[in-house]
Amino acid sequence: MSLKITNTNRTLRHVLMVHSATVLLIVAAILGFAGIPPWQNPMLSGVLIAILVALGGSFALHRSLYSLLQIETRLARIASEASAAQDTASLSLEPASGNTPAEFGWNRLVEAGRVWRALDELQKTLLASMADRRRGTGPQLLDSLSEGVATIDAEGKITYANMSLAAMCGQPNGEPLIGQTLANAFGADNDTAAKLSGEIDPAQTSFEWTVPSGSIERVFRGHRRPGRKSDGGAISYVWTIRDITQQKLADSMRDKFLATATHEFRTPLANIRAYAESLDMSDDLDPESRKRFYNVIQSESMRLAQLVDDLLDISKMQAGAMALECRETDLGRLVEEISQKVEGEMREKHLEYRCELPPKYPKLMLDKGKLAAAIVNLLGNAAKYTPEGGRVTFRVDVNSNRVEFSVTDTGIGISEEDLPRVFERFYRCNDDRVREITGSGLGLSLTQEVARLHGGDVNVQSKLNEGSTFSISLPLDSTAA
Amino acid sequence: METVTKALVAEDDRALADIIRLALTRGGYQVTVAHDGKKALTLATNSKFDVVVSDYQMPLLNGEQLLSGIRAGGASQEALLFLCSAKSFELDSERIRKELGLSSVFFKPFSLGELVTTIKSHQTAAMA
Repeated sequence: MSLKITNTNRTLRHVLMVHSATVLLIVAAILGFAGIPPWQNPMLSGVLIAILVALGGSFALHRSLYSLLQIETRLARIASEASAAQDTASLSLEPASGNTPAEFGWNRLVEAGRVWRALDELQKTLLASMADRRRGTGPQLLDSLSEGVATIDAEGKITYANMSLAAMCGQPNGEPLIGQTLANAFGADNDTAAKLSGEIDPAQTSFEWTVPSGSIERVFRGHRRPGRKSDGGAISYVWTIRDITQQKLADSMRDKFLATATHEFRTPLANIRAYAESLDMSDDLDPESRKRFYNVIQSESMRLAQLVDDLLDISKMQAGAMALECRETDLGRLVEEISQKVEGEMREKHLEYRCELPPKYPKLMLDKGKLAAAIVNLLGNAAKYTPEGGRVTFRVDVNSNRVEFSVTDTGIGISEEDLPRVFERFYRCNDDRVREITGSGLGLSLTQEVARLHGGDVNVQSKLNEGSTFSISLPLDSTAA
Repeated sequence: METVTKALVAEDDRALADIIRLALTRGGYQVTVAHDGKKALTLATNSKFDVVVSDYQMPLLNGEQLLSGIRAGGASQEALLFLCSAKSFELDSERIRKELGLSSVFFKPFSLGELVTTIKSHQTAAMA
């Protein structure tokens, strides 16, 4: 609140000086008649009466001015308090038309009384407003925190809980938590309750505990600091608590990914080291074995390099750091190029390879290189996991909304347990027939990312021992040339 | 007459299994290879092996399950057990080593020469 007050000090001081001088002159006149009783001199009697009247007026005027000065002092104090409260409202207490109080003469006495009462009201209102602000600011600030905040008394009972803490405990507001222990409020077990109460280690200040919540476990991390001492000297605590469930999940996924990636890197490395060492240590190796060893080192090195490339590509795509280079693409040419790449593999395994393209198809804006690699990956998988004599069909369907590239095989299929996880990085089906075939478990993840970069996705349908269909489905609106 | 030391290698990576077989054969062992844990356990239960070298991550039975099965009974119950793994920090190798009485744990990529030397030194210590 900005209180603007016109400073009348100078004017008031001036008026006071004038009136004081008048009084002094009158007193001097009295002194001029010293020694003469006033009742013996009619002229002197008149002068004395005039002096008394002047003194009375002067006194009244002084009172008026004194009141005004007090009002001004009080206004200044209120202004100071209001300024401290930093209210944004603006209140002007400036006298109307800039008139000085003295200009109104005696009427100012009446006005001063009125102003005094008004100031009483104003001060009361202002003080009440400031008290409300003081009461309201603390909890409002605490409620705006994402961290849970609670105060615990010496008996371990909650005396205050902010909104975040209430939400963590599944309460819409904090009231029901008052009087409960922290462990009760969170629905924690007895071990956690003992830990949080400080029974196990009174000096412990950081805690982590879990609470079952449906199919998952929520994880909380809390810190407690001693608060003020109560009368009996026992210590109360201020707790700050965070729900770190998501952080823990992310940490767990990162650790799992790191462990899997490490495992996948170590496997080809183990072969490279073992075969290189064998070549070095075995001088008596026949040329055929020597050549086989070199081949293993070469293929394992390539496997390692492919692993690194795939992993980097997936990471780039997921981070949005890999952009598509979309160009107008003829579907017929795309299918032809893809088929040329996989036909050799199909022939080697004596697989029947079919390619079905609609009679009419539009030209599409695609990143031909990345999409071709994704489809070749699907066809490569189909060839790998389809026994000799089986069939692989590559089909392109175009309707008004979407274009779909599907690869169907009569291979070993995927179990219901494995199906939801086939797009996970490094995931390989828990099937001996899969484990016998070299693979990084990154191909489908890479294919999915390519489809998603084009605004589409990959779907899979499969039945164990009967075969699978993987379909890359892309929206036409984002691919239409 | 010198007794032939029989070794069982359980490793699902065929290339690695082949080279371990070669190294052990050159070291004087009679080597049998299994590419999954279940087959390895059947072999170890039915035939007496002096040394078992097992990978950790394998189809059907993992290395810990296989070696635990071997220790539980069968013809190779007293064999010297060695575990190889491409896992690192997530594998509690010390616990497994103590619980199953493993002679040693190797982390991939390991040296074949060191593998053979370690096996031989444990054999010597066991016979002493």
